[in-house]
Amino acid sequence: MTLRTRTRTRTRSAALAAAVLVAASALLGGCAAPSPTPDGRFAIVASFYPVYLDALQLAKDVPGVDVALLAPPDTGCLHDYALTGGDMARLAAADVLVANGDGMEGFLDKVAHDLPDLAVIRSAEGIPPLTDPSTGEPDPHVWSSPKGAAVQMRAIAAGLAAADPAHAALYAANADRYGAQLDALDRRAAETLSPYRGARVLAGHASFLAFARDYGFTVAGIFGLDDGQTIGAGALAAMIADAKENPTAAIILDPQFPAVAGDTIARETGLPECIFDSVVTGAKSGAGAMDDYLDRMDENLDRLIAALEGP
Amino acid sequence: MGGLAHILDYQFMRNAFLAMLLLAPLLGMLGTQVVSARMAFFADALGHSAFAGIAIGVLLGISDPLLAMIGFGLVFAVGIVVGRERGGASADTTIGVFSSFAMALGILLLSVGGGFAKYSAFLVGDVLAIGPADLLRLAAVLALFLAYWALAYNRLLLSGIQPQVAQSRGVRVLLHEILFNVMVAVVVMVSIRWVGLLVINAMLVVPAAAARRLSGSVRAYQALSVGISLVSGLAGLVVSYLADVPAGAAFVVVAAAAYLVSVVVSRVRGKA
Repeated sequence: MTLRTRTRTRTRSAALAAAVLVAASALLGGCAAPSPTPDGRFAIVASFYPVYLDALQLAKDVPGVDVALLAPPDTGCLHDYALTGGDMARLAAADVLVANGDGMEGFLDKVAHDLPDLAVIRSAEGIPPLTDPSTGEPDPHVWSSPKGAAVQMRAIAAGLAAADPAHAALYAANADRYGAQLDALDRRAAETLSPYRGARVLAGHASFLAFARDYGFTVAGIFGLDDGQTIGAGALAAMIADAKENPTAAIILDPQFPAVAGDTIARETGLPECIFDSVVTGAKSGAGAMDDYLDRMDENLDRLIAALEGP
Repeated sequence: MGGLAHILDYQFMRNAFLAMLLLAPLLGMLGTQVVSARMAFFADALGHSAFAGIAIGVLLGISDPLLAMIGFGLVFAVGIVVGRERGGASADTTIGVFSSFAMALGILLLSVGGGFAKYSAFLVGDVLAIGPADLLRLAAVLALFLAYWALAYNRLLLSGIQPQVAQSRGVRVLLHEILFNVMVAVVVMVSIRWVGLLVINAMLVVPAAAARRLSGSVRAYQALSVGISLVSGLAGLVVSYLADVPAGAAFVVVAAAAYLVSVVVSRVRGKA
């Protein structure tokens, strides 16, 4: 190969490499849907739907603040969520990540390591977690109880005030306003459910544990695991036998997961099924989503009472 | 509770046993043809293709993705035969391309929401998922298959083992191949949710492979394959109940043990 041809080849491969780079960055840019924060704006990214709703409430009428959701709103629990390149780009452009913590986001340590400038609010970690008896691990679903949701929301407010001190007073005011609504919901839940204190239930997912603790239910068994699988046939048979022997009030289903095992238990035991929506997913966004937690918890209360009252 | 004595006290276990009594003979018989016609890789690919079917079902918003799975499985099964006939590549290459594409498409579509892990129940299966509708479906598929088997058995057998001879005797080889593939596809899709797509292929292949080593005639081959399949299936259910493990995987482990025995026995016989 002569010098000239070699140079030409090299030029050509350099051009090719540049073209690939341009194409790749165009692709990456395309994935990272929201553009990088315009100067002067404060970008909040929430890891999943429950903390997204909190962030929306807390950022209400705060000037210069944007709230976005990281995982698609129908993702649900993030235990096994794999971050995409677009997610990383979005996080790199954000000022603060509002997360749950307690093992909900498997990617949190990686993000904290790769993006040291990003403030990360692990909002559930101040709340002593329950232990999920089906896995022996701490149960991160603190928001599924209005009481836990209020504590978590206030932790997020404190984190936002620290990350964006200029608007600390506004976040605090929003926390008081939304906190009052959550506290009222908590009181209503405690009052309306008080006749059923101590009732035994079977739950389709650990997401009911926090609610059960705060409003006096005994979870006698959990038949669904995080990955959508159910406990084995023998364990299920034991649960059915136990429910037949000990008066049990209802089967609580998590709409995130298929109802197959719950239906099986219902067929065998004749127990009523009741959907408890932990508001872990949602179709709404922006201002329209703001009251989604309050509305859906109200519906939960209605459904629970209907199931516990019986026909 | 109380161990094995109460295993049939539960409707869901009775359903599981009933389903296994319908499915295991079906798999045993289909398996003999799969093994004879060297279609093990095709059956494996079909299992993988279910993933794309599930994904399409989820995207279409169908709560029970079975229809989408069967639909995709049929297109896939016919596509492989046509692709191999017209595409000019060898059978294993064609199947490999189809299989990889379907698997990748499934992963891609199911990952869009980041929720891939939610569908892992399809990988290992769930015996609790068997309802009365599944039993009816299985019974219908079994009836359909028996009718087809009775009408076309000789032609099917010949097409599988010696396609040229079959062709020369006027058997429409391609048609029978497609019909049989469609049959396998329907059986795989109907049962995959409770046996799991990772092991369904083994449930087709392993009992027949064991039976083939031990039998001298076609009749014995089929009878033994059905027998091994039935024993493995029922033992698998019992193991799954006692040890809280997936039934499909337990089935395959029992069948693989039968295969091991068949290897030893055929060796010993060979020496004798």
